[in-house]
Amino acid sequence: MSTTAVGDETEAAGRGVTFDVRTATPVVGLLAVCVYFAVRTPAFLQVTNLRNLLVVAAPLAITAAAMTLVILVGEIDLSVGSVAALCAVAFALALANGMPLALAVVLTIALGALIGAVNGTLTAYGRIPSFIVTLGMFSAAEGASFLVSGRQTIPITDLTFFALAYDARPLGVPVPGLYALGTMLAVGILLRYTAFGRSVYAVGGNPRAASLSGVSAARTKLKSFVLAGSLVALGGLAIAARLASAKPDAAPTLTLDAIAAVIIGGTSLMGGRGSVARTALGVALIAVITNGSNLLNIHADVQFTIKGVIIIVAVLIDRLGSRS
Amino acid sequence: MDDVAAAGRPSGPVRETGDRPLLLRIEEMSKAFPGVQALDEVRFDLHPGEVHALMGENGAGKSTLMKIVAGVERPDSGVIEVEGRPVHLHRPGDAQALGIMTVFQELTVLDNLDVGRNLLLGREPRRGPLIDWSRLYRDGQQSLDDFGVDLDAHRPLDRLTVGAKQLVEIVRAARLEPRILIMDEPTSALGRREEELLFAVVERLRAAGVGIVYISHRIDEVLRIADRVTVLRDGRWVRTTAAAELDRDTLIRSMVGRDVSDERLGRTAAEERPVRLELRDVQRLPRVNGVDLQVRAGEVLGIAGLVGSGRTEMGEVVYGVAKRDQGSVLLDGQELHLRNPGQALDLGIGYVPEDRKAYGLVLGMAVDENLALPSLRRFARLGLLRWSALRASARDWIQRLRIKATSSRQVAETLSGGNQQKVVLAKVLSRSPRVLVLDEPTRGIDVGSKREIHELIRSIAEDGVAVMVISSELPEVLAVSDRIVVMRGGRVEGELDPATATEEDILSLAFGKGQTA
Repeated sequence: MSTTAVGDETEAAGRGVTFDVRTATPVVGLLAVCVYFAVRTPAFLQVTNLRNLLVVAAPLAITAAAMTLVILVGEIDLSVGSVAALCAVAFALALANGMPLALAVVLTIALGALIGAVNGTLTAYGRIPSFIVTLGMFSAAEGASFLVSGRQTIPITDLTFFALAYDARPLGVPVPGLYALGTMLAVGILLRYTAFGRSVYAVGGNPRAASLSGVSAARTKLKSFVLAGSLVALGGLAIAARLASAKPDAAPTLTLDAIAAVIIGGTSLMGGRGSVARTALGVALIAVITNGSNLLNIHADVQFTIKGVIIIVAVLIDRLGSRS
Repeated sequence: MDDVAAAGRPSGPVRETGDRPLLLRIEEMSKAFPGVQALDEVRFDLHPGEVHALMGENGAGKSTLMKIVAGVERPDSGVIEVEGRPVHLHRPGDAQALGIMTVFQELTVLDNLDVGRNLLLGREPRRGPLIDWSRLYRDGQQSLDDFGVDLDAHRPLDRLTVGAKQLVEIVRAARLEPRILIMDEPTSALGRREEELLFAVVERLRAAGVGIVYISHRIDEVLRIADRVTVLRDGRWVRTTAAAELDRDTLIRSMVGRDVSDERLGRTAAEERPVRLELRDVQRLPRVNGVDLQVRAGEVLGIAGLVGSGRTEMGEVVYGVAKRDQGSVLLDGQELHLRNPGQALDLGIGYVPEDRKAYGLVLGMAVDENLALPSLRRFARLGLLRWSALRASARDWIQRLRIKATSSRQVAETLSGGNQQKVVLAKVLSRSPRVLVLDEPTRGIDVGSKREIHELIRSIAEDGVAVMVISSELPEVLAVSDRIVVMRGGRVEGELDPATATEEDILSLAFGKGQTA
């Protein structure tokens, strides 16, 4: 019989990540991959490479944080890749037409939020599965960015933008990495320490029970999509900064990588269980594999295959672990 | 009628259990789970052609014992003998090979198939490599007819009631000619007619010499169909007695270890109290068809009626989950226009839904977070949640309602049914409601927890809350209510005083006057 032992609360259980199979797998995987590349090539651990790693991983980290929100609330967003590209294209066009930088940034984020609102409204209030809504949005956003860009790569020449979004190295850390960490930290705090954050978990875990408890499932879903959309726009800006330009097909693998990062981290695709900290692990694993494979000159096609295998293995280990 | 069934056992005499061979013998069976001694040297046996009921509160060890017999769990120590030979059951297949079949409480039939395909699932008759469909349906129909279950083998399962599905599940196990059939709460979802069909199936199996282990919370039903009854309490064997020598009170005492009487907790309604909640001609078609009723502050109004009489839907209208087509709901004389549950909670209307797992709890979340759900904003300062306050409040409720949890961080899924229900109640109480609607507040909960929740309902009312208790369990309605309203066909059929009313009075209103079974 269990007893009422009110005093002896296990505080560790209260913090975000507990050490179980779900957590151990990506941690061990990440360490193993790092050790492997460090042994295979001395270039891997060099400071310039680690800096590069942060820069390259930033767009994925920001987008994956958005994806975590949507998946935790029990939905999916297949449109993030083309929405990020559309936001980047819109941003580049705005700058090219003489819009002030600050305004362009704000409007770009607003565009992402608006697209998120459309996704969220159709899903939460229109009762259309998010899989279908965002699949449609994926295509619509891609088409839109081809239309407005005229299939051209739009260069970005604003030096202030590069300084703030790409070149700055406070304390030697590349600024895109700081944006990425800042985003993940902010989303992590939001999820853990706000009423909205706990609503996300409740709605993802049992939407009906949440609704009956006065937590509106529809509104929580809508908010998650809007927030995710804004973050995706931010991810688009990070891509634009890295490429110094914008084009519709700038991030062909972003959607799948973001979903992969969330899953590899151990967040449940069914919603309600997981965290941004886990997603950070997933992002790190994907980024390190991509980076290390490039250093070893492993062909991109092979990398694709490896990534696919890792996703499946991650879920498999998760299943085996949760069974015991 | 329940009382008639309790008084006599029409289903045949108790069998002599003297020298006949034992089908199943369990001795000194022990099993521990982390932190719990689920079974402590338990014994149990079963004769051919016997119905042996296994009773006890939730957590008494009944399910663990039967899971061991079904090969799902392995014991720490103890002996299992089947027909005098010791056996080792490592997996469900081992038990099935010995002719031990189990019908678990959770349904395992498939909604997307029809009755016949469910009955012969995995055992489809073949002609060469192909399935012989006409024989499949012929065989399936034959089994249904054999057991006196009048269902069409071609009927899709998703068109059946939960009760009928359960009968399909039972026939599926029974047609495999088991030697031992374990039934875990087979009647929990059955209507009265389906219950009779089930008893007929049990009767046929008994006549065919099958040994039946019958797990149930329903005392009247156990006394009616069982030959012997074994009671477990806290993982220990308490008694094994011929059913004929038992009565309701003795059984309850054995299970609980103390007296739990069916006394009436309600008192005569305080007429001078103000009307807190009023329903005027409330309609929500097709189920609710013009309900008028009043609940006073400090009063418990019991709502009885058959399933489908509109009880649940009426509760949903009061809470604002379902919109009314017509009529008005008044709180303290003010008409309500609720758009969502959050608004109802803010106005002081609380609601505990019928199915705590599906609607009451986020099962994967900790107890403290479930408790905080209706009042998340209250625990936020400058937008940030104060976890320490949230936990302190949770600990407070755990103590006040005596919820058995290892800590406020325990995941809700792992609590027992009674404790889960207490968490759902505490969630609502934490918002200090003035009106409380409880739908089936003690379904599937053991006798001891039931009593605790009844007392809790009374003390909530004494604090001035207007409480509506919707329940299918007549003893419960009689026990907690100050006043009883019986619904039939979406309307209030009549009102009764629990001090003088009997279960028969309620049923005669519920079935319609003059149609008492």
